[in-house]
Amino acid sequence: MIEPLLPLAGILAFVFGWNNSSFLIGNMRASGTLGARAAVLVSVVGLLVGTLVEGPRMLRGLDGSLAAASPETGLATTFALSIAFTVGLTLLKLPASFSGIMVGSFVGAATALGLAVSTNQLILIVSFWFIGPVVAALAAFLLRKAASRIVSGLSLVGMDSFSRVGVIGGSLAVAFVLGANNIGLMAGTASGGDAAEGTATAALLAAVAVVGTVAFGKGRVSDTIGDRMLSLSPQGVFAVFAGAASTVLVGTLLQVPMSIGESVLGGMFGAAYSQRTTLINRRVASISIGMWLVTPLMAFALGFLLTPR
Amino acid sequence: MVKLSPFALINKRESRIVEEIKGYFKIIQRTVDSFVGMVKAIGEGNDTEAKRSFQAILDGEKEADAVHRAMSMEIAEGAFFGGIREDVLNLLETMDSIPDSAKDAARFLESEERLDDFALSLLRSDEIEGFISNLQLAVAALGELIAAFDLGKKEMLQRLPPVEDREEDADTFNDELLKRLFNSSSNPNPITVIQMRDFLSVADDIADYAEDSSDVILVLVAKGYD
Repeated sequence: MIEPLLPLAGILAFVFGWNNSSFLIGNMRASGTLGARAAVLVSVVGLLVGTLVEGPRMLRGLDGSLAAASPETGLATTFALSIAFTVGLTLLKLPASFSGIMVGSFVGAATALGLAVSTNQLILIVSFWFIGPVVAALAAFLLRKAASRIVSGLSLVGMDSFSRVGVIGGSLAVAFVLGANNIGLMAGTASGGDAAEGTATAALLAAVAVVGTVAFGKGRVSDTIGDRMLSLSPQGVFAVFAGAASTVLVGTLLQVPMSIGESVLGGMFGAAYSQRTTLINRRVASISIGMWLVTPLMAFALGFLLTPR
Repeated sequence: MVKLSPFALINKRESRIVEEIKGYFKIIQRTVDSFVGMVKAIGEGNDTEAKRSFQAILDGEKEADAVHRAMSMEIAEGAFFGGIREDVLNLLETMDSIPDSAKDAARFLESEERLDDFALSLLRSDEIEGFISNLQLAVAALGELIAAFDLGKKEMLQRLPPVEDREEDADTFNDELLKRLFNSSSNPNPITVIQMRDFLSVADDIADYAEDSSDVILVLVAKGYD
């Protein structure tokens, strides 16, 4: 383990939990499906299981696949910039693409240190950032159609139950992929890709992320993506979350760092158009897309400029 | 109808509340039936039956209030998905206005002094028969709609229009009664005219609140079955 990096990884995990609180507990609480404690329990279960089951795939998601064996300075810059970007964007209530920030910072730092960056892996990652939301949109479109069809034949109580199970299931799926993809990535970057230490670190970081969620998470970031952009029914929320989680899971299986926010945005368009909804807050959508295009480039530039050589 | 048994563990409370809503509706329907019975009894000059019916209206309204209060507390503690919980509470509140209207309308007729001949002729007319019949039918149609809670979206939507149709029919008869009230050539007592006008207005609320309840159910369907 690269021990000096562990505190930085811990801070990033805490901030990550804060930034993703809307996905982890926001929907369950806001919909009245679960109380605070139960919602936290569900997110803890999802995060830990995802981290332990699929997280090891991401241990070499950056260091070891995108560039070989980055020195400590490069990794420290990656973590520091990721923390700064995530905190700043969260305070400004702007969506923060976690994977974009980490990948951008890491590639900038690696470039500054003269390391060879794997072009193929970088192309794969960036392609997924564009393809992922489209796939999530398609998945959400189909899932919403299916959910609406199933629900229409249910009694009032059956519909109510389906809604609650859907919200919990969707939130659990999102927590799972956040643990697998993002926590796994943080742990691997902090532990130098070592499997045993990486898994233990990932479990610790997952716990820290939950603390961040509980301590500061109030769902505000989701306002910029969800509530202010489009209003969805319970079936729509389920479709968006399940579609987005599926996409991030595929990325995880291919060792591609992905952000849930981009997939959720794609999912929202898919879910909206499945019901022929045409009223979308374009301003909010434009800001979200703009941020996700700009932040990796900014992170790269700062990673390149600020890494000590 | 599709019953999802895997959900049986998590929807016991909601299933019980839906059954309670059906029981609550029966209390409301009984109260409205008593109101109709009272109007008929007064028209026939049957004071004993009129007094009995009036007491039944008071008892029914009181029982409905108590059941409404208990159910609302239980729902407010967390029954139903958050997105429709408020609408279920709203539905109960609107339904509760039906027996309230029946009681308020009955009070206009309940009196130690007999109603005068003009009022009695109004209460014996074909128009009043059509009016109170459609009040009952509007409430009965609401009952059919509530029964469709077990059947799904399509059935609920199909049972919505009859409530509004019966409410509109009640309005039509109400208009005829008001014309008869204000255009009478027999120079009725102005106090009688005011009393009967107020009676008709409040009685019409029975059908109006039944229709309002169906509107709340429409919102429930739109939100939950999207």
